[in-house]
Amino acid sequence: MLKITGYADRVSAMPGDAIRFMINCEYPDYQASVVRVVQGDTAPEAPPVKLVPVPAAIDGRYPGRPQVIHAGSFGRVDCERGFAGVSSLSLQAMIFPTTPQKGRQAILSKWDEAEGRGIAMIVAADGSLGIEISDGATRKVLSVGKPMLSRHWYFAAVSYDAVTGALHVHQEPQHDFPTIDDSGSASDTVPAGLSWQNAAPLLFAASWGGEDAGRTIGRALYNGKIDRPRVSGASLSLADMQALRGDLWSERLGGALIGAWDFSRDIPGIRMDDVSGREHHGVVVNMPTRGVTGHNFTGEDGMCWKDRPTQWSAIHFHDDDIYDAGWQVDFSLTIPEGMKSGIYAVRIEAEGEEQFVTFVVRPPRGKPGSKLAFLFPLATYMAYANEHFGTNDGLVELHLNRALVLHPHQQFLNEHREYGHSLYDLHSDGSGVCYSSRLRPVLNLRPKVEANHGAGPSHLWLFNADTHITSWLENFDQDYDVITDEDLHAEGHGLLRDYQTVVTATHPEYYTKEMYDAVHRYTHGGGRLIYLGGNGFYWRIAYHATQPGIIEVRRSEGGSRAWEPPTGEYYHSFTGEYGGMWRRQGNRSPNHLVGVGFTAQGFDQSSPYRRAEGAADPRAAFILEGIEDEILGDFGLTGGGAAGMELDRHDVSVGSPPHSLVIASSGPHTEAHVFVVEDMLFNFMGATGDVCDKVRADLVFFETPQGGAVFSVGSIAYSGALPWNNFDNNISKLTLNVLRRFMDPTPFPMPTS
Amino acid sequence: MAKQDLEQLIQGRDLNELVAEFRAKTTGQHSPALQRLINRIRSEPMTGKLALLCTKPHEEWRLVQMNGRGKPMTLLGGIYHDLNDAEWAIFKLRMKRHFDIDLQD
Ligand SMILES: [Fe+2]
Repeated sequence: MLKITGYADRVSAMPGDAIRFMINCEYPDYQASVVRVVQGDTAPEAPPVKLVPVPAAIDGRYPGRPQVIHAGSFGRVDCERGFAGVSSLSLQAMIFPTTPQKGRQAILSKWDEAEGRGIAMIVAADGSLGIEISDGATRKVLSVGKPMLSRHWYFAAVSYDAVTGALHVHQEPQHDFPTIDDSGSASDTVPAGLSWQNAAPLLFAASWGGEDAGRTIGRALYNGKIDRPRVSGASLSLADMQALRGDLWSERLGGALIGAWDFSRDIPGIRMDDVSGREHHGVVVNMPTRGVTGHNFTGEDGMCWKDRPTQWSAIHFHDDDIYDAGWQVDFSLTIPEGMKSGIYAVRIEAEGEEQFVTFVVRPPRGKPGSKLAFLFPLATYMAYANEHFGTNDGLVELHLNRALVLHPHQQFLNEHREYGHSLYDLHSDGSGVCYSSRLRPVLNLRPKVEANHGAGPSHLWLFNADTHITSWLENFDQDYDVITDEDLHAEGHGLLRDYQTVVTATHPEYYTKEMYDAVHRYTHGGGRLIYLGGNGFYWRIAYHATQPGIIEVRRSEGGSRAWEPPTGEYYHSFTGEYGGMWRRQGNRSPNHLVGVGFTAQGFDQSSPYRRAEGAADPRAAFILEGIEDEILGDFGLTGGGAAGMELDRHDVSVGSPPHSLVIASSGPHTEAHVFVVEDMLFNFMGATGDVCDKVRADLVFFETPQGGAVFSVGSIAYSGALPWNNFDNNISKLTLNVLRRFMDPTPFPMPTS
Repeated sequence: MAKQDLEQLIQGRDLNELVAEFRAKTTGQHSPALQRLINRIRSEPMTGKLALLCTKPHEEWRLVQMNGRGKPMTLLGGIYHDLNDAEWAIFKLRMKRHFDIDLQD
């Protein structure tokens, strides 16, 4: 099992910027050094691994120390004054538990786990609503005793009367079902004046496990939604608590409130606004999902939380949410002036174990170091961060059509769920993961790592597969800058403007509007784009306005997707933008941008391309110059062919420019390569690569305004063919032909009809 | 799984031929009957699934049984130095597990 993990506070830095590194190391000490990452594929069939040591100020030995992650989201309100002199208490909310049988879960708590003292409204061990109260010596749990259904709304209310010692619990389902007995109340008595008071903050969806190095530890983590929580400093009658369920209440009830929180305020932010007038505002910790439907969602007053926020006054908490691991800094690297732009990693070594933390040195703003840029798809790396494909769902083997091979980092992540999930995973309660942060170790963003989805012999996916591209560029002495799409999101077109050519990675799948528009403006302003991948520009995502390093996806409406958001949760909470595939967002399909769009996937074996009609067009002559072969790319490190894994098709009806040329098309493919669901209205037989024409990658070229051009390969496996036979092959030559012409500033003339 | 289900999967093809086909080429396009058969036996849920743990990159793989989400996997006996041998070992175990058929190397 891994004993070294780490992350950095930023992935992209320019000279003068400092990057802080946080390392968890269970060995007594470790060696840290910096390498420039050129080629990270360890397969014997690949060129040798090339990690170039770069002397750096941080080089040296450091003491190792374990650092842990406290996962699980909750809300925190610091309102000690609100509880001053309070002894009777009422707690209530609308709740939608998603794991009622998990065991004790705190819904609203002022509970100190270390002292075993406090008061809390909980999902009790029996799956029903309960109240828990303790002065540290006398501890009482009273529950309704009728388990709640998972994924149904309940009115939940509990109270303690300090004068009489009476405890009341009330659990009321929003809907009644025959045979289901889940409505009820319970009462009991504990000593009057029980001193439950403690120093814990008021928490939603957790109890307080103390503080650890600046982080609040949530215990008794609750899975599910909470809507309209209210805390009153009095023992209210059930009728009074019912009266507090809505958004208006009498002055009398308002007078007893310690707080009433409206989660429909600041959905894009982290605030939890108290609307009681007491100003007991709080914050969410570890990014629970916001912009989710509340108990009163109708589906008839709009489908976006912006339409009628009061119907989205809920937050969905998960016991495995993680935003910022919050580790202590072990060392900091200031990027020296003049450090070459590129992909780098800090290498941590101890007792034969090795770990990497990858980062990018970008050129100073407005001062490119080259006319060529490699666009590092950080957003997509984050989308896949710590994926659990190989350990969550058994169907993965049918995707792969080969045995499931797990790697040590996946074994570690399976057992260390606190490292958080990718946007492909489900939370422990079965809901889709729609946020992913890079402020935690991302164990699949490093050289030498293998993955499930890339076919053999290399078995690479995303970052490490992308080193086939960087090693190819360096083999042909192409000087290049590296820029990230996170910077592209922040800076827009200006980041690309001065490059003659931009080369993508193998799988630039996740794009914000700002990223998409910047690339579009670039290609329409004379820029040249080489898209060396498949299934690119596919999902719309959003960044958070105030919290760095976290993205959101809502896999709305359709598409090839790992999960489906519930109705009413199709809009990003971070921005209010409609989520889903770019092809459903106006004229922004990948075909519009790069001439091809996702059409099929399969992960067993790749296929070659064959010349197509466009190959004979004089406009494309430069592409195939010096290449006589009819068959292109019948070799490669990813499945033995240049076309495979995820494939894109040229299709004018989906937006490919009518003047674009198809130079080559791939196929036939294996039966494991299956036509995508978004192009399949009714499902039908004959949708697999052995029989379906639409299961193919198209190699496409077209000119863009002001002398620009786009070249797309439409295949994730393509990059695996570049290094084949020591970079001497027809795919490498073809790609180099394109790159050389694209680097020539001579404008591409627009074809005339 | 019962004998008649196997017959439905291979539809009159000679099982020995299909086994030989898999042994000769474990990955990529298979004949329809072999693909149906392996689709069926690969449909195991994550709990109990046979898989491989790579213990030396591109050199060594160990046979494991998955025990479900979040649960440690169990190392079984097999150690392989070629992925095709590992695929074959899983295939044999599944033919035993699903159809009670003993296959020899
Ligand atoms: Fe993807």
